Amino acid sequence: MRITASQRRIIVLLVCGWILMTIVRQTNHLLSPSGLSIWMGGLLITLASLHLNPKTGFVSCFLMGLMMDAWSPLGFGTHALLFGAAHIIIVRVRNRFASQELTIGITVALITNLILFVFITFIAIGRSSGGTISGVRILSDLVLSQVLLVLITPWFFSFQHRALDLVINPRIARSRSTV
Amino acid sequence: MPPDRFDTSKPFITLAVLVLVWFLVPTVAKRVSRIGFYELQAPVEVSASYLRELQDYWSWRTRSKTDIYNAYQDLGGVAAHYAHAAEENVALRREVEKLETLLRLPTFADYRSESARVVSRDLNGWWQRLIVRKGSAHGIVKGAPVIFAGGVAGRISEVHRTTAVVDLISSSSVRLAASFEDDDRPVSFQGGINPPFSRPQATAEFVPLDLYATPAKPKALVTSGLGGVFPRGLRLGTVTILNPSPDGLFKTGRVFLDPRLNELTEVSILIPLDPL
Repeated sequence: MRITASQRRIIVLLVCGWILMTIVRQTNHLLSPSGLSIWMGGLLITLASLHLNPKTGFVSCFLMGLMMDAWSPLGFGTHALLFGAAHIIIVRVRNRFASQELTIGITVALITNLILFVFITFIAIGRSSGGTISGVRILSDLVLSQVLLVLITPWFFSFQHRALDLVINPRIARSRSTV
Repeated sequence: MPPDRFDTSKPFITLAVLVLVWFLVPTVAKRVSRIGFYELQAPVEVSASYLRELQDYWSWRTRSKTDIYNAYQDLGGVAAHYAHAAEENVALRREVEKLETLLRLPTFADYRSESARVVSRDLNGWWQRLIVRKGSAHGIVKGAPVIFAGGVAGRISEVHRTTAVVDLISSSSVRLAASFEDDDRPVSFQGGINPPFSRPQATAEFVPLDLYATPAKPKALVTSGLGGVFPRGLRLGTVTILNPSPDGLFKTGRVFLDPRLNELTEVSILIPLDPL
């Protein structure tokens, strides 16, 4: 069986996404005594939505959503469908701005993360069986997530680009590293 | 060539079709893929927890011998206290069994305790969960109560091969029957209030009007034993104030949970010896 370039891109993005998810989970583990947490769902899908072809990007976003669903108490497929929908919307508008620029990438990641966070909050309220959810907690988690997202987006984008280069064009990647 | 309007809305139609297909996919297939994705990621999380323990081990190795000797002395006192409590426990258990036989009472549900290390804490504004390093391979069952030094921690919501997921009592999806320590009447306990930089909280509802709690004289809330999941008398938290509910028939109060709930590293899972 031969793995196509498009499938390789999906695998690379999934592995990069998995690494980010692990970092976020470990950070949340350390933050838990202070009653804070972070969520970076928007960052997971931004590069795939801005730079890859729509089909490859959609598959990788959907699979990353399934990976997140496996560790969340929400219905299986919730993150996947939200990520898929967000990807389609970003693909539709990406030609209207310079999507290659880092500041645009950070802005798109921030907006996507904010919208997905709000959606998941409503879904969580819906399944809370009458329990109250602290608005202050939601707001502080959102603010912290957005601040950290701005800080790590440049690293995560370059990490994904580098990983894609290494797998898809190893020669170019090697020549860049020697320069 | 398709009309322009159809062409621009094609991705959304694709998504709508995908949503429809997703709802039609059999539950078994979804469950299998969920388990697959979970078990694929689990080893990384478990390895990270082992690495943290190794880190702790090496940080403990840097402590002086005097510190270790002092800790040993403290532990000696605690061990003597627990040995005495265990003897008392055996005597009380015998007494209970004797009374049960004499009065022909049904026996209390018995549990086996399985201690488990915490792999990761997933405590956010939406849900409050722990992943523990024990699973179906160790006899853990779904719905089993989970306790810690401060009382009830939560209950098992998912069981995997070597890990299990615990829904903490601070989670908004947890509702259980409770009662006050000095009163047998049941009240409702609902988790869900977790403000930042402060201890987790919950709500006590349907509290009888003749019960009072003040910050000077707080009341301890314990499990009532109703519902069959949690044994009776396990500590849930402390109520410092009770206010009349809007309908005036009951009172409602804020329950302050143990602050250690946010930093658990080890818990005990109570596995029923005689599951229904």
